[in-house]
Amino acid sequence: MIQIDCPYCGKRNEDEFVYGGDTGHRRPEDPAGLSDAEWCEYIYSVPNTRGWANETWWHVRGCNRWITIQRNAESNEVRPASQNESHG
Amino acid sequence: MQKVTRCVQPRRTKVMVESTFRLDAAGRVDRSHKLAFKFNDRKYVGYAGDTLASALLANGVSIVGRSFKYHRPRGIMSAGIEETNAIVQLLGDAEEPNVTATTLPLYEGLEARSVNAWPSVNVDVGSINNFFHRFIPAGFYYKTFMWPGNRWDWYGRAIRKVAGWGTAPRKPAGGRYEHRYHHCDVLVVGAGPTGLAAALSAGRSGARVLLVDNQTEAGGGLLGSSAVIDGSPAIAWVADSVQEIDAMPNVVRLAEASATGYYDQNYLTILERRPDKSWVKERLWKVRARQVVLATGAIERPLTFADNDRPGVMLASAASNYCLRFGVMPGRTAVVFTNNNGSYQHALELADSGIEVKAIVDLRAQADAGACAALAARNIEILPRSRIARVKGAGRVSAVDVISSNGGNKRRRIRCDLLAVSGGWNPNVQLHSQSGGRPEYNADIASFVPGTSPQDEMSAGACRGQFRLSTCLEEGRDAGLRAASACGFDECDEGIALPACSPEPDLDILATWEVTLPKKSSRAFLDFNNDVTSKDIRLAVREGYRSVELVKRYTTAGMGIDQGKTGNVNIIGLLAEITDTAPGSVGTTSFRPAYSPISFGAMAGTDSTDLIMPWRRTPVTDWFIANGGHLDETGALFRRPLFIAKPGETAGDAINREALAVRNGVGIYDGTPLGKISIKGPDTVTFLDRVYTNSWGKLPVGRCKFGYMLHDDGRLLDDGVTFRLSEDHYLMSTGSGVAEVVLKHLEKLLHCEWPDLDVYLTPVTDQWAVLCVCGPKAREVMLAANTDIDVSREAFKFLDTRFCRVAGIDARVSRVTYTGELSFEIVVASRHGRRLWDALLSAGEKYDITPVGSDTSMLLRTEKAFIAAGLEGDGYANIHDVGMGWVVADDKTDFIGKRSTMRDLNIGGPRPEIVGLLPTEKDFVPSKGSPIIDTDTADEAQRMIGMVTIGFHSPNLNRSIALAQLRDGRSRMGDTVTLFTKKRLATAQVCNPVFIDPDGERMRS
Repeated sequence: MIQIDCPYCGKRNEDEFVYGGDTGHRRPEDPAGLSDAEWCEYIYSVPNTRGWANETWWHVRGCNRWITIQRNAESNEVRPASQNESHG
Repeated sequence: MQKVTRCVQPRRTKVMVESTFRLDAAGRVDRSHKLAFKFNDRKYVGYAGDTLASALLANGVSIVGRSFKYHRPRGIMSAGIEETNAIVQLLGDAEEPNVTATTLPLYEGLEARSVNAWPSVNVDVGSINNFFHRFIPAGFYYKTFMWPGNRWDWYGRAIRKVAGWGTAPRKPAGGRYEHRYHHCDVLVVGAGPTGLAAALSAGRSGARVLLVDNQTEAGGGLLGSSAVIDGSPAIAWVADSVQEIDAMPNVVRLAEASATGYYDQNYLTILERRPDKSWVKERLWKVRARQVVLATGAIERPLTFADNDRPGVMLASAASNYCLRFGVMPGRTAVVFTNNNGSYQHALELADSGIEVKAIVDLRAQADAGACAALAARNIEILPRSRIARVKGAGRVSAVDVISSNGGNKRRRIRCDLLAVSGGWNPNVQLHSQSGGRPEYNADIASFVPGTSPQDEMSAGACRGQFRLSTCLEEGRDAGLRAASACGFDECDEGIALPACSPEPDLDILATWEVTLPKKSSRAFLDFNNDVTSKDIRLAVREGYRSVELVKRYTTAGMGIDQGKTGNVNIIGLLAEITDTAPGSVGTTSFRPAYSPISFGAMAGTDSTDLIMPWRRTPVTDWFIANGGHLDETGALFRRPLFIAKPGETAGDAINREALAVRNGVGIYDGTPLGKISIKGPDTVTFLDRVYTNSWGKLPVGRCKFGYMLHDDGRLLDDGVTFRLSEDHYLMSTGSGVAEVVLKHLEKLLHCEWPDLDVYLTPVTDQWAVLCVCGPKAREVMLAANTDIDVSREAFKFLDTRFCRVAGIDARVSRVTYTGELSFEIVVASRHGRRLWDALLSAGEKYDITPVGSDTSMLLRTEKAFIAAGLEGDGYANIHDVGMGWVVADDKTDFIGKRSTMRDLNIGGPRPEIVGLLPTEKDFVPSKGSPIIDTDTADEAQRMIGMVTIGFHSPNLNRSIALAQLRDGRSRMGDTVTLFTKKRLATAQVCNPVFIDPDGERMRS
């Protein structure tokens, strides 16, 4: 059970949140302009970074915001995302 | 064939008198407080302060169980949590399997029996395995029961019967289990000398401290020790420390509380047995600590020598512990077998307790010089460079054969009934390992010590290989101060004053992983719990296993209740010896939670019976319960009726009656669980255009529209109707089960992909009750219920939504349907839901209005081929496959799922299209998931061409019907296909999936 530091609510247990994936995995601007292969790369090749990555988490049992944090997938350490990474 | 083992249990215990193994004065038991108990159906007496194990030893019970595989008789080996032999089943009201007798406090009326022995511990039929051991080597199960491959279930049952550890209680566990959350600055695990010093120091600094210890009283090793602190018995220092700790308001101390798991970010679980409140049986603490001090101590490990598992072979420290802490002699005549200096003190303690210690058999060349005089004074012979070649006595040690290399390797027999052994000490690094640390080998103690701490954790004292009492106190004090200081409590910079302790020699251990075995057939046990011998490890290596993780799994060493506590280091050492590497490069296996067993009750806490999954209710739930509703969970934890049976009706009868009523008269359905999301904001239309496949720009206020929502991989996420309630207010309905999934999907898009869109979502599912009146006579019911708007076909069209009053209640009524009949969906505030339900029932009475359950609703939608997510709309079918291509606005450049839908079209090829099926036998209902097969194809991979998604008996058509996914199904209309059902093949004709009213005239009427 990791603790996530919600910028709105403070440190809360992971079970208040829903994982939302790597922030780098954004929907392409122009899907129609992509080849089938490129589109499949976006849909099915989801980033799974070893080490630190920016992640979105939905604080659904809290402030209902999608927040961005940095988490190390190896050690499960969590730290705040840099300012320009955060959403909403 | 050899006869089964006979026992040598003393007959005199029959007379229920405290036996002569009890010392007159020593120990911490209360001799004025007798406790009667039963073990294996015999009555015994012990004292308050005993464990079951100490009470059994006091009564001279030597065999307490049978080993797992060979059913060898086993006796008590330890005095603590590491016990692997004395595993018992508690009986009576407190029934519980696999309790370690060494940690179970004795209580009046305790009743227990051995596990793993049939018919009894003393005569065990399974012990026949003992004589066939050469046929049951490591990996035996893998090798033998592989053939025939499909019989594992049969073998599994048979093996389980002879191998089992205890039996699951049949009665529900008595008493309550609960969870408690706790936050603290410093968590100290272990209340031995190190832990007490740490808790005292941290406590004095003002930090919030939690001190947990798995024994009934604090003190750890000092409870059974002759150590001296400041000139007094160490236990006096313990008592003073505990008194001070318990007086500190910022310190919480738990006894009989084991830290069982160490998880991420200093989150630990602690199982507290028999807590302060009598009605709580066990309490699982979930602790978040800023700093953790591990003072978990060390466990003595046995030596690996021939027949080292005989009852009467005991860890030296345990033997001494029984004398000093419980006042029980574990034997009368002892031999000590060791490879280190630590046992010399134990030999003295045994001798001073009245046991005749005949000799110390020391594997090393040089014995502890400092102890020689004391040993000589007690007539204890020291035999250096010696080993035990044989242990005589099946039911109890009767003698040992010693071979001394100094004495020309001649065997010498020494009679004894207790063999106290020590192979060194294993620091308890399990929690450190669970926290993510990697223990490292330390040659000075021939064991593993904690490595770098990945979390805010530090180990101190014996659990990091520091066994000297004075060092433990110092390390404990320092760790407590450092932990408190890291939390900002650095006012107190001295902690406790370090007391003077009795001197102790260095451990001076000779690493010994296997004592030379006298015969090829000799067995030396490494993991007593799983009956793993040194031969098994050698065999595993011969068969190619090198990694300790693989050897562990192949031999099952360390996989039982022991979890490597006693055996792990010996196994690693032996593996290193065999493969000619260093124990450090073999490395340890990863320790995983739980360190000690946790009951299911403790895991569940109060989340049992009705509270496991609390039901959600609608305003009508009580009415259904009172009126024959057959309730079940049908998504999102809502409890709703599948059908509402009248007295004497079967499920089928009720569903048929309800379905006929909706098609021919009028029904009423509680649609409250339907997900509802309120959508506001100037960009709502843009948003809907992007998340649905169709266009939303032209929807006028007071109208609604069906939408089909896809994942971006082109598969159905949800379908439903969205209403335009006012200029800038929309209301989306979602499936009951996916309401939260849809909200997550939409919120994520708004927050993460399109933060520029000005749209606000509010989930309002629980705020509104939804009742649906459906059937040809629905309009009459609406009129009878005093609906204050014109509900005529012309004034109130299909897909209109209107604010009005129904039965005097403010409502919104919509012309939407999931049955294909004329329908009015009435939405009122939840608090008026039941009043509206009652009003509609009385308004509809003369039309025989029929409450309808969700199974009936499923049948009605099947007749109309309305797509259900998860059935027809599965993870493969796309929007065109399910016949919903009409909902796609081709002129939109993009929507979620469009690109993947285009890719399906680009790829082309056969698609699983939704069709209807009319089984040839009208009363045969194909079950969900039945494959449709092509009987002409020999290619197995190509044989399955489709699958039934749902089948029903349709009372309206008076025959069975089904929906199915069929490869290129729409080009197979009229064909006969073959269904593969559980028992036989059946045939069906492919047809238009809309079985009733294909033009939709009824719902528009």
